[in-house]
Amino acid sequence: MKKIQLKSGVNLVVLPTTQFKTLHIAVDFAAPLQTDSVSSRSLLSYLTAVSSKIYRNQQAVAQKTIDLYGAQYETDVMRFGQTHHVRYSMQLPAPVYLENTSYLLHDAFSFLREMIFNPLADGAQFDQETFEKERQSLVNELSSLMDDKRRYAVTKLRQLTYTTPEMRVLSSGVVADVAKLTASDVYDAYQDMINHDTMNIIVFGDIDEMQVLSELEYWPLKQREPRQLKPFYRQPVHTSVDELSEKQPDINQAILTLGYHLNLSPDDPRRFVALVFNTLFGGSPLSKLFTNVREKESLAYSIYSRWQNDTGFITVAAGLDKAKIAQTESMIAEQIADIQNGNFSEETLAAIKTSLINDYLSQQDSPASEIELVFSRLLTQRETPVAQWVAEVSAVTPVQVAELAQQLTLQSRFILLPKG
Amino acid sequence: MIEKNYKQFKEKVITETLANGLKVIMIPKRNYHKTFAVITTPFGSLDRQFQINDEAPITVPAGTAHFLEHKLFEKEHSDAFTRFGELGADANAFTNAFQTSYLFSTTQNLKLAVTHLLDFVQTPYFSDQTIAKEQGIIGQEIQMYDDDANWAVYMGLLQLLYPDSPLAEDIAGTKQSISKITPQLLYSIHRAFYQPNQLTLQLVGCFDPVEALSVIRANQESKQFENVAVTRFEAPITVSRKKEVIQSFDVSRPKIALGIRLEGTQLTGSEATKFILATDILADMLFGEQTDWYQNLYNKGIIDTEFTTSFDLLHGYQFVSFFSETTEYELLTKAISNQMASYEDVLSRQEETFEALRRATLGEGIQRLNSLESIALRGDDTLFGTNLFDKVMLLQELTYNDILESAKKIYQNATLKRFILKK
Repeated sequence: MKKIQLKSGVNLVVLPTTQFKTLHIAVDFAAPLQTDSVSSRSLLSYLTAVSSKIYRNQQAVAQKTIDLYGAQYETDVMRFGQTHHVRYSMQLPAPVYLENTSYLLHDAFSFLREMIFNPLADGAQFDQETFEKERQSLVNELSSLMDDKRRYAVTKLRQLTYTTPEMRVLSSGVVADVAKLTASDVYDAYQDMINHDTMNIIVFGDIDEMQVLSELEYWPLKQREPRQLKPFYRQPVHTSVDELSEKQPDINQAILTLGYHLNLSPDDPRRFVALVFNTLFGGSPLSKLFTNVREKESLAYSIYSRWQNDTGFITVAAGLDKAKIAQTESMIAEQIADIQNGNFSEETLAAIKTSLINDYLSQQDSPASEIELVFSRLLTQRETPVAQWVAEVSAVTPVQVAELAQQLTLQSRFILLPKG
Repeated sequence: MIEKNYKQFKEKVITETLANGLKVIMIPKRNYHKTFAVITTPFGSLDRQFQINDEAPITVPAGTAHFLEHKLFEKEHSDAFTRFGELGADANAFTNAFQTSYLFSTTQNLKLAVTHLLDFVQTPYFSDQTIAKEQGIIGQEIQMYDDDANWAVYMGLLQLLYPDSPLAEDIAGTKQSISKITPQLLYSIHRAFYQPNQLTLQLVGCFDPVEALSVIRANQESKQFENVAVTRFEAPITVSRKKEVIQSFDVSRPKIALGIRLEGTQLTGSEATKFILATDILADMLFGEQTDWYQNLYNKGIIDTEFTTSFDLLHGYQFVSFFSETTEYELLTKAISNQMASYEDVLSRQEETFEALRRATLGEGIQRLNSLESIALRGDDTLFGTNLFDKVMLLQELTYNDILESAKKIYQNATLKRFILKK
């Protein structure tokens, strides 16, 4: 990966390839995660998705993306450890597959520049009318998210699990905070982002560095002091388990969620062991949770575990009959004890490792995965070559998995129950 | 081997029908790392009655196609899923209204995985015991869908448009319907719809077609199959009497679905695909984000970006649908009705808009060709015999007049029905 520093705090990576029929431009703004800026950053991503000075509403934006041969323009927000990201991305058909499209590339870069750097604002605040509409859209979206019961349960678990306030909030914001924001608050957040965030640009597709550099000449990229970014979060283990349950009408199934602390520092080379452990535990259809709890005992229809190296937690979520919660929980605990005691077959472990390697190699066939991987390399300043990654996973032993499993401690439990 | 070149996309499709009737479609893409393989039978949730040779007709309870899909993985002493795992292949399966597909993708052990795919799909094992257990698991799956508000809206609209039809029933069936499934029924379905001449195997990705075909051929030649004649009986399209249904559900904002049924003869082959493409562009011209209609409703807060339209053509079921989340559903309904009523005015002298949308749809089609899974599954292969490349090519033939014709077919004498999910 060749990183080009365009300005202090502004980096570019160009990934030329003819494998795909698309061209991608992605721009990431990264800042330290803070409770009071998450909502305004989320809202500014809504505003800049649908308006700029030239393209004043989504009708104009849609007309332009239609003219760009059905290009997709999106904004998004996300979290990685203790950093918060506002992400702009564009995908368009590779011009080589179309006729009379010499203008397409230049137009795409100009459009993205316009959307990012020329917001529909008067220098002090966003356009009031657009602002009010988009604020309402975000409020609606955040409320609707909670209609998704699984997502709701995992969100509640997060609030129980983390001790640091900013780790408890959704990266897309908090309804109550969004409702209070003004057009000038959000404009301030926008100015802060544009002028101070660490900015990473990735261009991916059938294009070379010179073309990209000449297009970016037109972008107003200013130098900035590098932000202190913490891509990893760790909190000390607690001695007690925080619990909560809640009843809701109109649901049949209960949802059980569990948060486990995994004692492993972010730079520990055993992160490959952790990956294998989680996949064996509940991260795949070959896992203990899936094969035993779901398939063998029919206790839950869905059950999985997820490991996040950026926060140091493993989360388990299961959809099940409420009468089976206690039995399922004790069975989950048994699966952990089994792994701790080395009670799993060499064949299963080999299959787990092979499937992990398959997933990893398969990512190379997805532009989105490749771009995500490069963003994470830029953020963590850690780059593992493909061959080394495969070798590290292959080398994980049963003893290492059993030992690391002993570093797992239950910290939180949230249960969503059907009312009545 | 028949080879068809799609020069514009730098792709080729190799087709071969084996002596036993198995159709093999191969799309080599040497600059990819993985291969996606999928075997499909045109048997889905809508298939509810059939006959083998001149034997007695067999009735199929709701949810059986999906149930069989689950059960096919389980063998007497092993699980087909586990074997894929050992090979490092990522396997899955799905059932929809008109097909059941078994698939995997892998970067390693391709030959073994393809052989395993054919073997497990072609070697059924169904017993009373395994069926009883599955009834428990699927029972939970059905419950899980019941808790999903978006699913409830979708099923609510189908029930309103096509009451008590197979389409309006959950693909997984009900606890009651699946309790009627027996090993004998599953074996009969397998005999009819899983015989080689009903199956299509697609391979897309990084492999050598000659080598792959010889592995597939050797595998098929080592097996004996019975060849039977199959007759399908389609359920009659039911009459829809109600205009509106309101269901209570704990949602933060009302969820609305509106639908229009199309009556009359169904299209087939590339004509059907072309009609679908035309109705998609038509929907964009009338209700798309770039229209004044959309911007006006968006400004008033009547719709947001959750608003979607779609068109489905599934055997005899042809319908347009609109989905939205809004408290202002009366205003939305009125706005859609008005736009429908004035479709001729809205579409008049819109050649340029049509051209721009056709180009954009072409660009979107090309972007979709990145994904091996899309190439295999996002065409109309099973329903109309048009693959994704054909589909993108057909777009280039589409004319403004095709749009006007579709509009007439859909909006002249259309009845708009409404399903509401709210607190």
